[in-house]
Parts: sequence; C-alpha cells; structure tokens
Amino acid sequence: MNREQRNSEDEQLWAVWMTKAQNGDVSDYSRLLEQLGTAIEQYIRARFGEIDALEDCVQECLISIHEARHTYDPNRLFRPWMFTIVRHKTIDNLRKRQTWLNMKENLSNTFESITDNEQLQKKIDGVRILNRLSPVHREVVMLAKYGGYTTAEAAQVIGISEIATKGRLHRAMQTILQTLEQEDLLI
Amino acid sequence: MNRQRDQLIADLVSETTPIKRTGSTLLNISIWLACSSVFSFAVMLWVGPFRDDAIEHAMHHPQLFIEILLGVATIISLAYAGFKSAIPSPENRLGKGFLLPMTLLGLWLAMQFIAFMHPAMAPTMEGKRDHCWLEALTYGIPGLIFGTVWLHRLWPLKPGWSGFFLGLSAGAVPAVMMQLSCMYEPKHNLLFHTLPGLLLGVMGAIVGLIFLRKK
Repeated sequence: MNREQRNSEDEQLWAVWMTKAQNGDVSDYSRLLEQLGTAIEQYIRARFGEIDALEDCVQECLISIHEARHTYDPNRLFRPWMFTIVRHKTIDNLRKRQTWLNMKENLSNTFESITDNEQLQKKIDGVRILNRLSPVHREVVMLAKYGGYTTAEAAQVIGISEIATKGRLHRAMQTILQTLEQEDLLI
Repeated sequence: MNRQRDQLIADLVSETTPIKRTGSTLLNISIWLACSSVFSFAVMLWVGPFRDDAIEHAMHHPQLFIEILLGVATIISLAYAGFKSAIPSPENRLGKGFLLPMTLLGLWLAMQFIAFMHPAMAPTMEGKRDHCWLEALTYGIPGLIFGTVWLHRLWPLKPGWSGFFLGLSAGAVPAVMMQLSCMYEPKHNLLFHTLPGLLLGVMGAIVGLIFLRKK
C-alpha cells in the first residue's frame, strides 16, 4: 500500500472515529488518540527533526486535539484540521522551549563570570534552595528573579494570569525565606 | 507505546462526553452580524434620526451606492475571516483566507479617498450628529465583546488576527450606518466614521491576544 492510499484510509477512519467521539463514543476515541499519537510523533520527526521533549510535544498536541474536538466539522477533511493544530502546537512548544534554553544559558553565563569563592558559594546555595522548591515555584522564580522577566511576561510564558503569577511568586519567595532562616543563611 | 501517553489517553477518554459542534461558520456569522447590526441601528435611531433622504441619495448617486455596498461587503468578509480563523484549518494561514477581506477593506478606503477629489454627491450638513465619532466608536464595542465570547468557544490559533478581523468588522457596522445617518462630507466621513471603526480593529487585536489565547 502506498503512502497516499494509507493517508486516505487513515483520513476516512479517523474522521468516522472523531465523529463518533463527538457523540460520546469512548472506545473509538481511545483508538483514535492512540493512532494519532503515533502519527503526530512521525509528523514532528519528519517536519522538525529529532527534537528534545518530543513526547511532551506529542502529548500537548493530543490535549489540544481533545480540547478542540468540537471544532471538527465532519463535512470537512480530518487530517488538515488535525495537522493544523499539531503544527501550531509544536511551533508554540519549540518557541517556549527556546525561551527556556536562552534563560538557562544566561544563568550559566552568570556562573561562569563569578571568580570570587564567597560569591560562588552564595550562588550554589541559591541553586540548592531553588532545587528544593516545587517545579511550579521554581519556574516562576527562575523567570522573574533570574530571567529578568516582568510578572506580566512570566505569566505569558507560564500560561497563567498575571495575578496568579504574582501569588505564585510571593509564595515561592516565602518558601525561600523560610529555608534560608532554617539553614541560618539569612544575612 | 509510552506509559505516560497511555495514561494521558486514558484520562482524556475518561472525560469524554457528547459535545455540541460549533455549527456552520456562515450561520455563526449571520447571527453575529444580525445582532451587531440591529444593536447599532437601534441605538443610532434612538440617539438621533437617520437622514430623511439617505436611501434616495444612495439610490441616485452610484458612487455613494458603491461605497456603501463595498462597506457592507467588507463587513461580511471581515466577519467571515474572523470566525473562520477561529477554526483550525490550513486555509487560515496569512495570505490565504485574509486576502479577500483586506482587499475589500482597501477598496472601501480607496473609495473614500477618491471622494475627497470627486465627492459622491454635494456635501451636506443635513443630519449632522454632535458626537458621531464617539457613536461610531462605541456602537461597535458590544459587537466586539459578543463576538469575542463567541470566538472563545471556538479554537483561534491566531488570537490577535481573529480579534483584529472581528474588531474591524464590528467597527465597520456603525461606520457604514453613519454614512446614511450623519452629514455627508468625504473628509468628515473618513475621519469621524471610518477611522473610529478601524480603531476597533486595533482594540480587537488586543482583546484577542488577551482573551482568545489558548493555554
């Protein structure tokens, strides 16, 4: 079977399964998502190469397809609808990841520029304390305190409201303060 | 397959219930346009009357008729682009689905500039409204809000563009109506009726970026 035939078969099958899923059919939906997972993985590999966090990307695409399933019109083709979401989500993901990598690079540059031992120790303590934070708290602290992002920008990167970001940052800073007090590191 | 992915699929499937499809884009636009137009028309009529001979003017002056017709076509095509862009499709890439509305908008604006040199009819102060620019700006806002709530239920992948087209369309509705209700003078028309409508496009883009973004 050549590729075109396979695509055409997939198209028909997936369209039917998605239509059934829209009507609440669970078993076909499960099969659909499983097949889509594999197809999305192949698509990302073919279009974007072997990227880091490929699995995260595939899973985010599946979530987006799930959330956007009400916009699929059975009178139209399924594959173009699906791959538009996948393409958009993957680019979005890569962009966010690039921002994160840039930030990490900035941070490592900061470490490299330190020559004084005491200063270095302080930085190491900082990293140790950061590692004790929960991932969500660590993320917001990294963005707002190390990355130089404003709370509005950090909120955009994380994908939550600015108020929620401020609250999260406040709680994270309180946790850091408590840890510093416990370890007698507060100056 | 990956265990995490299996778990995710199981979670997604477990929360699956029958859902209501978004319906046809044309139906969505028709309802939205009808609501926006009726609202603008009703409030405009409530605030002040339309020009007595507005329809007659439009019928007897082809240039004015074409200008109004282009305005209406622009409103419809912009609304179509806005709603269409909120449904995932490869047709929504810039340059494809957006060419027609932008061309019509350009033609509509060009007609208004041409009227500077060749007015469609003799300028008249008849029907002059005191705060027409404010009316043109504010009457489109409810349409923009209503449309934003509607688009939020869809899946806009380019929220800024979706909001931009929706805002332009919402703003163009009172702008076109002003051509029939307020005084006729080409410069006044462009500055006090059309420009506020275009501003709503900018407002729509901002609103879209804030409220239509999918996490």
